[in-house]
Amino acid sequence: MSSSKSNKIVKLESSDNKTFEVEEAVAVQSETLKNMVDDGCANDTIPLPNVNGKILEMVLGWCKKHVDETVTGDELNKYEADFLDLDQADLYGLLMAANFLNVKGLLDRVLQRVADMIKGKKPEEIRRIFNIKNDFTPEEEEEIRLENAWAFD
Amino acid sequence: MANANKCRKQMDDNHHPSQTQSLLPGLPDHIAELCLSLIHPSSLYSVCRSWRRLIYSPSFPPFLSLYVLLSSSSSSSSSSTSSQSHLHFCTFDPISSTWHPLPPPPPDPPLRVLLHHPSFISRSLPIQSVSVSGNLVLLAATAHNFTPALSRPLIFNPLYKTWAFGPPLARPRRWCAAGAARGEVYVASGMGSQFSIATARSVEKWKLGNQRNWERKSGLKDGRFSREAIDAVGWRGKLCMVNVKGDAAKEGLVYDVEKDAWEEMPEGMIGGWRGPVAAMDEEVMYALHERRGALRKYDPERDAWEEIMESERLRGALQMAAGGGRVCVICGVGNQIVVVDVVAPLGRLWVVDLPTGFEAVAVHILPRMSRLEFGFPSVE
Repeated sequence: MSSSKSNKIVKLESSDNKTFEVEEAVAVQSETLKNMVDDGCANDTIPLPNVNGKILEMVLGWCKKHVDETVTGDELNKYEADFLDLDQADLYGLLMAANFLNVKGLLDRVLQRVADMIKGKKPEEIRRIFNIKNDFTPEEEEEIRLENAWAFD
Repeated sequence: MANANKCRKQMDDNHHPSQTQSLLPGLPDHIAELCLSLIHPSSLYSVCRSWRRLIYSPSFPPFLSLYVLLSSSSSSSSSSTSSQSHLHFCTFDPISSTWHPLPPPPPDPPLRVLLHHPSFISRSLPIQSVSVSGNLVLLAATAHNFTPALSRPLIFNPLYKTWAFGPPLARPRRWCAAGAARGEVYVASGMGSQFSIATARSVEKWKLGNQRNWERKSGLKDGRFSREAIDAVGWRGKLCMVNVKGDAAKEGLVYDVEKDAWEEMPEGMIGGWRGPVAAMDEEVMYALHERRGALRKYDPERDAWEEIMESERLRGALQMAAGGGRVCVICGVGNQIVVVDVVAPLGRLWVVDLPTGFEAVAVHILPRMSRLEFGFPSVE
């Protein structure tokens, strides 16, 4: 069928049975969904058993913002900064969804956000925040890097 | 059938209890790896075993390390008989601050290199090496019968931890100029067993990966550059070299890779070439003033050198390498490596001690070797 792309709607269903309808232009920000659209598999509701409604709504919000031509560069930067002000559970949920749906821009931003939460912190703090066990043997514990050690950039 | 599979899985779990926790609990490891690869490994090393293991795994972007050619020091101070010195290859991992030996080079043909001889009391015979495209390449040295020790380059790849030979040189040589530019290795001038004007004027180049041959390039006018073993510095599509080490009067040449032509070195550049020189990413050239211990950076717009720092510790520099924002210099008769941070404004400096009983001959900056097992033997 030769329907004009800009009018086509893609229907998605989250793991907790919430349905979302978005324009094709928004949906194809996800490489995964784009492949399905290109293969003609996007005519019925697409089930996404890996992504819950809350996270899917966030991902689609991101995609919508990124195809909106009325949004300025500055507005987009502010949107992205505010967007990423989330707790760890939501950040992880976004990472997994962005990875599964293959939304590269979103994945890169959230990866960087989590990396920034690790950078500059002492090992004990990193372990506490990310719930990591200190599983070094006493000998390995001795090999902890000295404060004034050098490294290449 | 389903029960049998279930039983097998339970057995497997008992035989291989999970030794490692996930990298970021709550995230699949493949996604956690993407995140951790954005962070400098020095921040990952001390957190937990799985993070420490990760930074050494072949899939993780490899951090830079020092690769050093070492000679075991001759035992006697007066050497009427040349005590045997041997050539060793080691790497210093700055993340764990440990030395590790490289796997030994292939035993066939054996690498027999003459390092000291009574006729050369004040210094050791040179071994020439370059780093190119993440590999360490040995190019030239003197064998015990005073012939070239290497007729083919000997290449070490850190990521695969393997040694390999390259194609034979048209003219194997020693005491030559050796350098790399834009992924290709150059040898120029030098001599074979004895001096010959043909060898002294010849220039060959080779691209890593080419297994067939070296390519002849435009030769030199004369044998001015066959007196010393020279480090030719690859910089912005050129190879720069001088024919005398240290502070003495010298002549300089610059080879233009694209034009395949040799030109005189600009006055300002040669004026400041008073010790070892190295280029960072073939973009920024650094020179060490051997006598003063002054580190300088070349400004091509003004054809002049800009002083970065001066330190007693940098005096008597023998050779240096630049990479990853650091300049690494062999100083103090070869038993120390001084590392200078040329990125941070304060110009911080560290000293790396060599394993006892060794002297450094050459230093290179290359990606760290992968570690597949955890208890990696180290050199005390």
